[in-house]
Amino acid sequence: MSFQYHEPVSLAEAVDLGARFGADGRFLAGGTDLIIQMRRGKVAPRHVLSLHRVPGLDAIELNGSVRLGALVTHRAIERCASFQGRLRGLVEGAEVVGGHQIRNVGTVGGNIINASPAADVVPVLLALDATITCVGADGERTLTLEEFLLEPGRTARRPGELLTAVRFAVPQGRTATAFLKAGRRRAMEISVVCVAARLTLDATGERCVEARIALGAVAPTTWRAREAERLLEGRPLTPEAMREAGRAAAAGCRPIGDVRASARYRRLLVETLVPRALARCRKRFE
Amino acid sequence: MAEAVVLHPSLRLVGRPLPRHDARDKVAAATAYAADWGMPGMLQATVLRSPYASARIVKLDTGRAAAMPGVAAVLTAKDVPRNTLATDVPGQTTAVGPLRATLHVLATERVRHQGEPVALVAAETLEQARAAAEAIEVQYEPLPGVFDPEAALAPGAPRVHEAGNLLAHWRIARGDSAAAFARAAVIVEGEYTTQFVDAAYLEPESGVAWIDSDGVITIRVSTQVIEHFRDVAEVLQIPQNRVRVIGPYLGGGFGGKEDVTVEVYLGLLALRTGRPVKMVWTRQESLLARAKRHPYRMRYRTGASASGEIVAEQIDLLADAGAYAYLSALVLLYSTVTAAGPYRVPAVEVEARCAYTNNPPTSAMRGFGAMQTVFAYESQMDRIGRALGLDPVEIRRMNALRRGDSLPVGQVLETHVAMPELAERVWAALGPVRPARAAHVKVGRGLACNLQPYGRIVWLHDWSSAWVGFEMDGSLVVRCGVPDVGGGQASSLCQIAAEVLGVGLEQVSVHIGDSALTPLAGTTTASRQLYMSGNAVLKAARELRAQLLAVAAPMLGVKDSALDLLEGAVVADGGRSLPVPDVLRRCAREGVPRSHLAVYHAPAGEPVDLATGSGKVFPDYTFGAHAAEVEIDMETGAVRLVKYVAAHDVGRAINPQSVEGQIQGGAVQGLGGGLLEEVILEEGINLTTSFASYLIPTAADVPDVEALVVESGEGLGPFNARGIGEPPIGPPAAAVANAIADATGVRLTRLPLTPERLARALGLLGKAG
Repeated sequence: MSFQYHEPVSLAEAVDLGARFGADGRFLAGGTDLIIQMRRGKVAPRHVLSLHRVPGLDAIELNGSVRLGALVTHRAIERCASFQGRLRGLVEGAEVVGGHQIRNVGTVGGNIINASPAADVVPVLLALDATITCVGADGERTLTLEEFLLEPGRTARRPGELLTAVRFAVPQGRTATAFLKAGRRRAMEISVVCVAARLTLDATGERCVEARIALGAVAPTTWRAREAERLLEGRPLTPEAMREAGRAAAAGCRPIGDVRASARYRRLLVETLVPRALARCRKRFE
Repeated sequence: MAEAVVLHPSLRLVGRPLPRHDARDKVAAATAYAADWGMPGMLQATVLRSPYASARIVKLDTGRAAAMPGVAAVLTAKDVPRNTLATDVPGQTTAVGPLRATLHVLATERVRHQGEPVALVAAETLEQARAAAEAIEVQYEPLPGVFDPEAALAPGAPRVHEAGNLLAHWRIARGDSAAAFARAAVIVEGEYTTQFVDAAYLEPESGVAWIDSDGVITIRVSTQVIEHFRDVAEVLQIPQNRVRVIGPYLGGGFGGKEDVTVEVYLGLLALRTGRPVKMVWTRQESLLARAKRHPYRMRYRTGASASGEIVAEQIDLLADAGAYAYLSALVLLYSTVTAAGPYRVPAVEVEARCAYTNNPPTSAMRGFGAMQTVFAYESQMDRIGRALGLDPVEIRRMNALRRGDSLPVGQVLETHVAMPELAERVWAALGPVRPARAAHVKVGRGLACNLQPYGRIVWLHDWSSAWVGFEMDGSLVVRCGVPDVGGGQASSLCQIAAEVLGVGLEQVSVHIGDSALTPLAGTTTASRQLYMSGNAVLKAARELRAQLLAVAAPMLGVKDSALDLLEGAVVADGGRSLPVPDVLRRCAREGVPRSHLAVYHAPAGEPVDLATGSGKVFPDYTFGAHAAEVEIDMETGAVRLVKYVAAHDVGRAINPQSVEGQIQGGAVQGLGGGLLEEVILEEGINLTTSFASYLIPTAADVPDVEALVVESGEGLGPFNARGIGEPPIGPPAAAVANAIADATGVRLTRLPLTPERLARALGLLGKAG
């Protein structure tokens, strides 16, 4: 393992280096995935571009919308007081990533770029209709997170392009989010299945006007259960409706079987956890 | 959370929960573990391993690798003076014949398991060594393999070794079980399966070897057995007195460092290059290829009378020995002897076999074959209790062994058997039943008891030696070749010596684990070190005390029986005293030694024919009972441990803090094996070679383990202590399985007890699942 290490001190320099090295370079954020992949020989970048001296990438900005810089750590999300209300689901996703040490260094940007279908924070961001911003030699572009994620380990990022931020609108009105994870153990654990939900009720609190359900580890990428969302929208949030949504999500997902669980068991978890995540949202309206 | 220990009024240090001298250094990262060692001019070494589970080596060419930059040596089997290692139990005098453990140092024409070492490389840097290992040209021709012991014993199965796949076979037949079964009111049959488990110590296999200035090959290595210096000598074909093994403090052993690991490779490379060499296995290597705990398939048929007395038991055990023998035959013997558990069973038949497969080798791991059987016999006991409407404590109380009873092998229990009080106490300690937190949650409780031998099999003639001596200033030195694996082995010896010789713990220095400079103490395995080396130190300290008092008596003008050693002084009745240094000076003048070397021999016996015999197999046993409370998510099968209590009769706790540590650590490791851990193999290929896929419990996964330290005052160790290293790992899996059955009515018979398995058993995954 031999590579050159760079520490750009500005966004412009980072983008410039990224463009120069293209596929031979890799940006280093928290390193909790990249270093492991390098050690195992899965990737062998000739240039490693640390982002830690680029100013502003670790900022959380709230200004009608939320902007998470790519270097915002899971710990920073956990501790952000503004996320305790309608964005509680985001905190719940961040606080089950790895263990304390990993959350202290692992970043939201790295979590997205790693493109693991089992990522814990990504489903929450998907449920928040997040967009991402990439900057490359040709300038800046914005994509939806959903279109950015292509397959396990692969995103729409172009060679040399730098993911700088994730954005989503601050939820308004009667909105709640929730996140649930099923794993074999309670820490340092890759999700067997994880579920994020966002629900918005009408002014009377009777009907669901908007629903988002996103699932991890049940498809090649973090996956929106649109059929389940449609079943909820425009309807009262009854236990039966939530169970129906769970069944629809279970029927629509495409899990694999591996050493952690069979595909069949993952479907059972989807069917069970989706209604529980929805019920958790509903409870937050009370 | 041990309860208050009642101290013997005359004991000052023994029985007190004193902080261990090694604890602070470990917490402060000041302990120099094997991998922390470095020397000038040291080479770095690596092992090339087989990617195949079963293959013929068609071509092995090291030419290109040897010519690479920085490479000092590339070794293959042809460079190994003696490539087959037959390891008798070290230091023993009786040839154990079929128990001999064999392994190949490096693969010859065949590889028999994935990860089998094929070649060694030493180079200036680790990167160079790894690059050279990659450059070794090996051509394999894959061969058919066998991956299940049942299949391995079927006619026509591919042979792992030429002599056939049956490695060992033990049997016990006691009483007329056919007649007894005919009288039984209830018969319960069950088949139980356990998995491959890894020792998963924090510290991987590692060491440094060098040729010291005296020409002796010196190896500082993480090992439970410094007496492997003999094996190194054998492999290198040099005299045993030309090899020295130094064992620093370990970051865990759990049996995984009972067989040789890196020391033989280090010896070969140091001898070849003449330079210091370091080898540290990666976690992936350790998980891939190190010996695992044996998976067992256990068939039990248990008959009981209408009132609940067990009348007969038929037991059939089959273990996967993996690709090489290692200690499999001995592990199987432990299973055979303990197969009926801590219960009186008048008629017992046990058939136990283990077979070679092309899976990773299996060998010693904490519990050593007496652990897998607990899952089976305690599941059976629970089922019989349920069938007869008896609660878990009652069915065990009715059948518990007592002093004077004999085990199925015929060994009479001569010390106190703390059954059934241990079961009663842990069950009571669970406290009032709590209601379930949610509609989809059910709560259940389970109990499991066990017995575990401590000390080696009596016909292996076990011994340990220790040296205790005063320096002229009255400070004390203990020398004992014990490897300290983290259980407080060394510090307990200090406590014993300080107790007998009337000094404070801070006055004692202990030198351990050096095959050249410390008296040999045998292996830190088999829950034997406190028992064996504790007795050796006690004997040495008592002799030294007598020597000293005999010299002091005329100085004080009293009989030596009227003297005591207290706080660095010889004290007579009436308050007269002499500082110990004064007595030591007199000793020097009179030619009386100020030290003593003692050898402790365990009670020995002749080999027992298990099938017909009725004799002693182990010196003694430690008994235990654990109780668990679980919450079950009835919609997903998820199991949450809520409460856990573990009690063992340790005879006497020399250091209750260390005893609690052993009980808690053993329980957590047992819970890991019960709920999480599994080496998953597909046709011999290991799919769990990182801690992301081989899951050990984290602090978030287990509740506080409440340790009840019970002291019957009876045991064969110093101050009547019993061994406690292994016993606490036995009951957890069974306690949790019984708790799951209590909560759900569903019995799981395969370890680990995963949520998916429970979901399937609960019918949540449909019929075909």
